[in-house]
Amino acid sequence: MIIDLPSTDSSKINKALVEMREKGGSIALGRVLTLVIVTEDGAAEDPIAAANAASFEHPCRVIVLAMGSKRASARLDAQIRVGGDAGASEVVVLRLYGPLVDHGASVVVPLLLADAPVVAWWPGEAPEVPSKDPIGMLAERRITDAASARRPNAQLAKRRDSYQPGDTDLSWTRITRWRGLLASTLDQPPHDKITSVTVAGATESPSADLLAAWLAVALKCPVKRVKSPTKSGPGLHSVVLTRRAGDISLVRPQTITAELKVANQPERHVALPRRGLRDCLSEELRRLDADDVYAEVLTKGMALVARHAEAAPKSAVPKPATASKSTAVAKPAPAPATASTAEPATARRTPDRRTKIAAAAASVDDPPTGTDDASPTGVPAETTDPAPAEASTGRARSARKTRADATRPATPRRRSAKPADPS
Amino acid sequence: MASKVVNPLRDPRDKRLPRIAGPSGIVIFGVTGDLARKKLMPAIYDLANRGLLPPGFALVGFARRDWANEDFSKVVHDAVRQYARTPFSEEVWRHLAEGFRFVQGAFDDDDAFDTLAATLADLDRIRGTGGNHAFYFSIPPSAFPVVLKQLKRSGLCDPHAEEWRRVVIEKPFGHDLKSAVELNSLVNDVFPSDSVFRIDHYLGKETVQNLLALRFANQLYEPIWNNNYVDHIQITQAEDIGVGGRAGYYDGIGAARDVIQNHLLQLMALTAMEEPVAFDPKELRREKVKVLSAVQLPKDLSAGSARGQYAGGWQGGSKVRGYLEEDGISQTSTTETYAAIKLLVETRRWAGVPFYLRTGKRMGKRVSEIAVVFKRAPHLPFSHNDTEELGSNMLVIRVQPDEGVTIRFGSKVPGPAMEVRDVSMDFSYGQSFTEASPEAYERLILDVLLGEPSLFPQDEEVELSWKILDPVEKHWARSSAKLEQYASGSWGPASADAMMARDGRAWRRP
Repeated sequence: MIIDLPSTDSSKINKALVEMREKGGSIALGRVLTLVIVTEDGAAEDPIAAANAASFEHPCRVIVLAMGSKRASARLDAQIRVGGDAGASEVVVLRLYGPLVDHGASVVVPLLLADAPVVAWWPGEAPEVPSKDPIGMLAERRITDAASARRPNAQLAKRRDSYQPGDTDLSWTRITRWRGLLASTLDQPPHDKITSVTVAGATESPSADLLAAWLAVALKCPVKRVKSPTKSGPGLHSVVLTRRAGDISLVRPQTITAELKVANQPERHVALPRRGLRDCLSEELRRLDADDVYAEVLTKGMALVARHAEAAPKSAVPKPATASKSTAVAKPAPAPATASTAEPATARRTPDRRTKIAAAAASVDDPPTGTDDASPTGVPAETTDPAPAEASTGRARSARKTRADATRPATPRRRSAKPADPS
Repeated sequence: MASKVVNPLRDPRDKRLPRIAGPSGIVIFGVTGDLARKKLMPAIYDLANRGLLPPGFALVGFARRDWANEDFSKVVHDAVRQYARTPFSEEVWRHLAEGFRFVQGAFDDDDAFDTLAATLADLDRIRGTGGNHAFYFSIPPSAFPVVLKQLKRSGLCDPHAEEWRRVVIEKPFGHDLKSAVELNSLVNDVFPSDSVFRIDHYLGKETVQNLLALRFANQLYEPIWNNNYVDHIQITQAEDIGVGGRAGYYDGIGAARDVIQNHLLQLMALTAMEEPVAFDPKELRREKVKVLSAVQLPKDLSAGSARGQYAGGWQGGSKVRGYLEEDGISQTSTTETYAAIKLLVETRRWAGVPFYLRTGKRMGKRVSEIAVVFKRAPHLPFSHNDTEELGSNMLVIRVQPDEGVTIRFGSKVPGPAMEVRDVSMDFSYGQSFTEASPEAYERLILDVLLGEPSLFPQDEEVELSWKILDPVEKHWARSSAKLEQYASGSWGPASADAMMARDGRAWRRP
């Protein structure tokens, strides 16, 4: 059943909700939470569909704040959906116009369910600091999605810099199955220590970055994050765990089937498609306490990962000239860097052109300071490993996977890198 | 099984991380039966779809049919399309189907078992099942000895090095105490007891596990969960279907052995047990064994039990046959299709609180529930008229269908007078909980593959359950008179109502 309430306010909406329950005789389901979805008008249906699907596991009240045009006069249009149109929840779609667009929280507060936890979800662009956002402040859990932003890597860096307990990101949720598979391989003997890891994924893949970061934190060994081979699908491509007893590799050449190869065992296949929104949301709603592992991975792990342009580690013989120049250039870089956010902040440029240049400047990756195998702790800060590599393929690198963004004096560095670039 | 080595990728704080089974495979004996088709195969598919099965999982069917691997694959495909809970995915199916094998043979056929051993070795080599195999016995108990012997002879039950071999058996776990003990020792002869997994699928249900959460995670219920406040407890499992095609199995067994001995006594144990000190399998089992060993039967078994057979008639809109008229059932059968018994738990907590357990086929509707009925208030300040309609407070845990918990309490009827009537406060898992909540078999099969024993009754529980039921069965066997008939679609024979009435109580209508 759908009821439209144009030009309304929260108290009328509340009355309507109670009336619908009494008249429509809808079963009073145990609502376990309130989910507030903040999105743009016109982009609401997909998130609503995911929320409805997830509601079978977590019956909830879904409040959708669909932001309309700021230039219109202040108005609130509401639509209430219950029953078949809403899964096992009740959905209230609020379309805000004019100045109300900035005051979504005021509309939402009266509609929050008593005693139930509140989860805020930004399926698209999210605020700079979700925990300080008026709606974010109402919520115990704040779900963002770095991958849906226009610049995912930059977005992920913002998440890292603004992390507060309760924040979570769907790019972390998307890799749960990868993590489960990798963990299960280590459940089996031989229980050899992993000596190094290589994670390959698309340039702008926050999921790949987070996976690499997780492995770096958990395994305490050097972790490389490289670009997947051309023509492979978006997102994660492969993970290789190196150990004395033989490598473990999980490779997904296209987007669906993955091959799990453990040394001395036959190759196995498993379907590992990209996770849909519904699954991700269901998983997010299962636990509403702060995700400590995500926190650690995001704030500490990302810095531990050495970033490289190419996925072909050994073939590269670093051009000495570039290397030394890069070292020279790189020196200023670590200085502003605080160890925890060691990743140099080369802001990203338009990918395509850069990628081509990067490809040309290719194999300068393996920095002379030996990121890959040497440093046992894999912490680049002291060896300035990523820095030189970054600077050397200055633009190339900035084209590909940049990570930290914005906090750093990126611009000046980039400019200094440019002239240094040998090309 | 659980290795002592700490896996660096498993952080205890990482609650999202799924526990995916290690490399393994399942061999199903009796793969052509209903259980395999309706429950096991769909559960295996659903587990694969949820990403919980290891890559390279293998499913081997063993039966007498003359099937090739492809024929078996088609059978599984049809079963999955029809009964699986999660949506069908071609990719998941394709990968899973690569691990299907079929071995044709009879249970006493040595060659067939050698072929099975070779098939498993092959799967280890090519598919990567790692030498870990579970043998699912979806076969009548009479076939157990021969299959176990074969597994021993062919060496299939012996794991090498770090491998595991497990056996999964379905109820009935024996016919009475003596046969249950024999069966246990027969199985333990071939598989050590921590490799034996007995499936009581009720224990895999959400609500049954919720019972523990309800009791022990809340402050609200523990203070009243004892004989100071509880008057009695009714545990019901009713089906609306008759014996149908299971007549051959059912006759001679009866409702009590089929349901009370396993499901209902397990539910009773969970309801009555003391709080475990931790939620690990050992502690849970300890408490269940403790409470089961405290169960006593009433002195007068005739007064404390009731049984009957369903008669033909009209049920729920269709005409149905009586039990004695079903195919394969003799006219003189004394097998009950309805059984009810009264039990007492001799502990400080439960002394004086009777537990009434009932089960039956062709009853009013399909329902399983645990109803904790509280004592009435010692003094009601209202007039008798005003509280005539007031019953007892109840907390009802609905195990199936419509999983949830209901509390019944008295409330004032809107109006000028102070009239108090019962109302229900309901918590339901949701209209379509089945869509998201795993099926019992999914959870149980995964636990077998993970080697997680919590949800599987162990030897001692099984034997204690038989100790409780055996005297009742013996008592019933002494009388060879025709069993009382009850109308199909009703709630049981009159003697069952009389049993309650003698205690001044009545059965709840679920």
